[in-house]
Amino acid sequence: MAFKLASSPHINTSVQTSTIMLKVMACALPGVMVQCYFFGWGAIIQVLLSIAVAMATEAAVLSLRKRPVWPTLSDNSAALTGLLVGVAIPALAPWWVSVIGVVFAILVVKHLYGGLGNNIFNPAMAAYVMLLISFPLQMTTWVAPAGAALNDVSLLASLQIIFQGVSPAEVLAYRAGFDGMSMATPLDAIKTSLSTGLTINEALEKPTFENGFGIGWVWINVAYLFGGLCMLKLKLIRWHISGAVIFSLFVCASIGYLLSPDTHTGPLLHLFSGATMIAAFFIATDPVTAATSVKGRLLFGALIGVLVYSIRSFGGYPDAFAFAILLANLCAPFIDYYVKPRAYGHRASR
Amino acid sequence: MLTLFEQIDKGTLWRVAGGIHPPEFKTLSNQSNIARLPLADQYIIPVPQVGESCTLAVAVGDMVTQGQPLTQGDSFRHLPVHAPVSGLIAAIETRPSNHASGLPVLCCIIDNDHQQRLCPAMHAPLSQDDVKAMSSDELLNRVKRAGVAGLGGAAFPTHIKLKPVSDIELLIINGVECEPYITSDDRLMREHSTEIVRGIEIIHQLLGPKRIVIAIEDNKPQAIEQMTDALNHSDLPAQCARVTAIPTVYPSGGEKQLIQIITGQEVPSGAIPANLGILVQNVGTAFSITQAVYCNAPLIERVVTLTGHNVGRPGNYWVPIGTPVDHLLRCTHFKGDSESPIIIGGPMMGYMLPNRHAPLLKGTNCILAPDNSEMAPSAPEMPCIRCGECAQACPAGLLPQQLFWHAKAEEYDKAASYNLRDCIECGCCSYVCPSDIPLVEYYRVAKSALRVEAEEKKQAELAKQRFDSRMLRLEQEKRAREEKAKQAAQKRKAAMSGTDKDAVAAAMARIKAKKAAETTTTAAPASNADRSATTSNTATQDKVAAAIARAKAKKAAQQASSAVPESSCNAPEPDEVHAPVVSQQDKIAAAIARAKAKKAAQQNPSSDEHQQVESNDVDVSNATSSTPISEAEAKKAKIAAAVAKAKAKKAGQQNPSSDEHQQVEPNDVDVSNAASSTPISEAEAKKAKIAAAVAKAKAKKAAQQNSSSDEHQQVEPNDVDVSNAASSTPISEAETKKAKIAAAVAKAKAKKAAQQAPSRNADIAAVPLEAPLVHADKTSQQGKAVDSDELSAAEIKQQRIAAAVAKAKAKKLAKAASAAPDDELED
Repeated sequence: MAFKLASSPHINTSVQTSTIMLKVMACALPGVMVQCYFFGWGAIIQVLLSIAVAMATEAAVLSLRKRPVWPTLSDNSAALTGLLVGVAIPALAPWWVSVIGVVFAILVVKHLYGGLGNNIFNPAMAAYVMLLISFPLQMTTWVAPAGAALNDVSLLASLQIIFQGVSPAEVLAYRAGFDGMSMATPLDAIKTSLSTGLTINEALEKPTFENGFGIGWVWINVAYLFGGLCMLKLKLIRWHISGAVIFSLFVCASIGYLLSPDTHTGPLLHLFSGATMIAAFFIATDPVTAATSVKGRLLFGALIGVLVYSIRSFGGYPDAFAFAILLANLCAPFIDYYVKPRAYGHRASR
Repeated sequence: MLTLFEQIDKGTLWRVAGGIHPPEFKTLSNQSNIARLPLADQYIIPVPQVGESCTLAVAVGDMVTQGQPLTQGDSFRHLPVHAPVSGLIAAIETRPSNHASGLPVLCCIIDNDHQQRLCPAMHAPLSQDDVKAMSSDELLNRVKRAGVAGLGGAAFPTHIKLKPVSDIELLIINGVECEPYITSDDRLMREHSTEIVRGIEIIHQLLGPKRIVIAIEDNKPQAIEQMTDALNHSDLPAQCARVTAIPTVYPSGGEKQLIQIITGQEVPSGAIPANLGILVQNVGTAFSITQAVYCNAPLIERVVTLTGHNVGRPGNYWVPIGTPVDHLLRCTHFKGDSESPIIIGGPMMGYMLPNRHAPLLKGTNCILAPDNSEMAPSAPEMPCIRCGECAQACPAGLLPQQLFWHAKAEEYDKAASYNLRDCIECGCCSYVCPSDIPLVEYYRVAKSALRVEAEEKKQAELAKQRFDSRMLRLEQEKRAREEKAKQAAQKRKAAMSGTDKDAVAAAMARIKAKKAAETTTTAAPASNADRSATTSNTATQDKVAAAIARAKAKKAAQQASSAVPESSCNAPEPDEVHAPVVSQQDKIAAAIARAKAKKAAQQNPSSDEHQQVESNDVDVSNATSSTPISEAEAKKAKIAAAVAKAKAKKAGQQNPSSDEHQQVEPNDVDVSNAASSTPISEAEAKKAKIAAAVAKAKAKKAAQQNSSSDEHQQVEPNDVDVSNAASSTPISEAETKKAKIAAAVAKAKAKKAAQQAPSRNADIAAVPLEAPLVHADKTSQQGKAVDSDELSAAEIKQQRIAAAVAKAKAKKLAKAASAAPDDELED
């Protein structure tokens, strides 16, 4: 008998890593679209650029590591990393920001740790943090969302800004003469306002906000929430991490808001500002860097929520998901070690 | 709060962790009644227990009837196997097993005679009342005799399970059949529900459980209906038994999982369900129990699902145990080729069969022949992305991913700490893995490694125990021996005054007497040196003595010359010792004489100065014999020679160490080769040897004592006149050898003496001069001998060699003397 003797089980789900990654990217599309709507062509250019660079870097590193390039490349994990870096970068940031970030994510954060499945940190978040610390100006210059400023940067202008180093101000200067091109993000605005002695309500009267939410940002978060729910529906992720992140952030924010409504942002604003939804559904759920057991994942998610709230409220950065997720990544092995499910036939331990 | 039984009566089900919903493919095989296939011509019945708990009941060439037991054993654990058909035992040999390994096991090969002669023990079904009248022992006996085993797959002997250690309160009849494809239990429940319920009644009669639950997955509505119906018509007490439909999820049919679903309890790790008062039996087993008890029919056939898209006629079949799998495939129009996989069991937990000639076993419930569209060859393993799906699917609550990491890294102890041994190998984790990692395979490897490790540990522990007990035993024995010796010593002491003392005294007296006798005999030859031996019979002794004498003489001469250059060689006229007539005695006497002479020589100087020792002058006449000499003789002679040499050496070495002015009178040894005409027995040879050895020993002692004495010893060196004796008759090789050896020995002695001498006495200038002279003399003598007689080529050679050696020695001596430092090196 010449056939290969395989071990049981002899059947397998058709679910493959590559399909999972592809579906996750598909679920992120609504969010990317909304981002594109509010921030112009720049957003989608950044995403496409990041994905392309990510794939190229992955292929290069794999061939350097003498690993089979195509089977690994086709698992789409690099593309997903690229996408996540792309959406995190301001729409009109120069091209080299994306390139440096993505190369760092794939080369250093992923492959230096052993490639897919072995990295400790979420590559996209580690890259974002690196960029944020290295290039704070480029990384915080967000264009004002549509609606807040009448920016209508054309595709060509976006390309010019991103690839030729033309500053957004120059572009706009001869177009509209309007200086409101760039604008602080809602969380940034609140932080600045609070530091100048304004109350939350006063801060919310700024042009960044509309009906108590940041213009544009709320819709972006809603879109990612929708994508996340799709992933839950498709069973691409389980609810534990996302649920725990949102719940703990909500609880923390509520406590803060109830204690001091003037100096603390409300829970809903927390949930629908900044990177909350994309981080809760698309980044924190990265299985490689998260805890694995159900209890562990709840703990992991809750830890992220608490860290995010703490940093947003008391730290130096307006948004904190990247830091929170990296810190939680560090804790994941620890959590996994101490939070083991009770095995069948064993008494509850610890 | 409701009691467990109330909840069971209500039909409450508990949630079980994990589980998956693989495609079922049950309709492929459950659409038709259980059928029969044509019988095979040959059946293969593995008899793996033979040698452990049973013996073969048949021999090659026996005719067996259908249902006749093939093994017999007295052990309770013994599970008999039976002939599935009537026919001839064609062979009892090893055949590939129905196992993932395919390793050969001992099998009975039965050639089917197609006559279906039934074993006479089987009978028509009894009535229910007859069975009810049976005692528990009788029931158990029938189950055991029939070889009933768990038909769910594990094939554990049922009669052991039916005699549990603790009371059984709950009996669960497992009709879950959660594996995809398999429908044998489904069809059996649909078609033989009455018999199954009869079997349940028997178990109830044996164990008296308070509740009986027949658990069937809700994807088998017809089976549920049939079983409920049969149960309603049964004699079981009302409210005692019920059919419970459980949700379809894999692996709810696992014993532990089923218990959890029905009762909410978990079987503690390492325990068995009986510890919880629960017994789980498969529906097929219940059916077999009925057959065994009602008809006394052994378990020789079972329902097997033959399915998969490569099976032309998928369905369920009654198949005799021992049918070769390839026969079944042929009968069901197998569509695959030799490359197509054959899986024994279901797709989740079954194993691929390495050899299709393997037989069907009691635990084989399914033969699955999938085509490529159903089961693609396993995809390459991708890296784990830690998605955790495996942990979600694991029904045992394990962390398959952690187990995988540790198993892959071969950190088996860590894997064990993640409760690897609680893994039931259901395959859920591998099934859901998006990276196609064959997790179960890793676990199996890790498990077997741990088993091996545990086994080795056990063996090591055993070995240690054995070692410890051995040491203890040795210690005890030693103590016992010491005790015994002590007692014996005390006894002896106590008895000393009595006869024992006398005996000791007598022994002492004897020893003394012997010594005295020795001294007299040794003295005699020394004084009366003038014995002449003329007879030719004395040949051998003479030879030996002669050789020894020669050797001694040589040494002495060498030593004397080397040690005391200015010694005055005023030797007295040497006595002539002629070999005595009587061979052995003579030899001994000669040896003794020599020894004495030496001693005397050595001792005398030690007493006082200026003593002159008259050494024996040994004149050994050549004895010429006309007859060939036996080898024994030759040996003797050699040995004697060697002994003599050794003695001479020692004496020589020690003497010079004493002091200056010693005068050793070299014995003048006239050695003539003696050839004896009569062969001497080996015994004689031995004696001679012993004597020689004794002599040597004595000589040694004496020499050692002497040397320590004082100055002015004068030892008269023996004057060695070595003449080669040439016999007119051809000389045997032995003789030549002897001669050679003697020569070599002499050389060696000379060397040593020479080397030692210069190192001691710095003022010996003449040594190098004299030594060569001695040798030259020798050589010349040898040369003469050559001239006078016709010698064999061997002899010539010998002599030449001796000559060469002598020359070499002389050279060395000269060198050594010149190179010797002035001062003493060793003293």
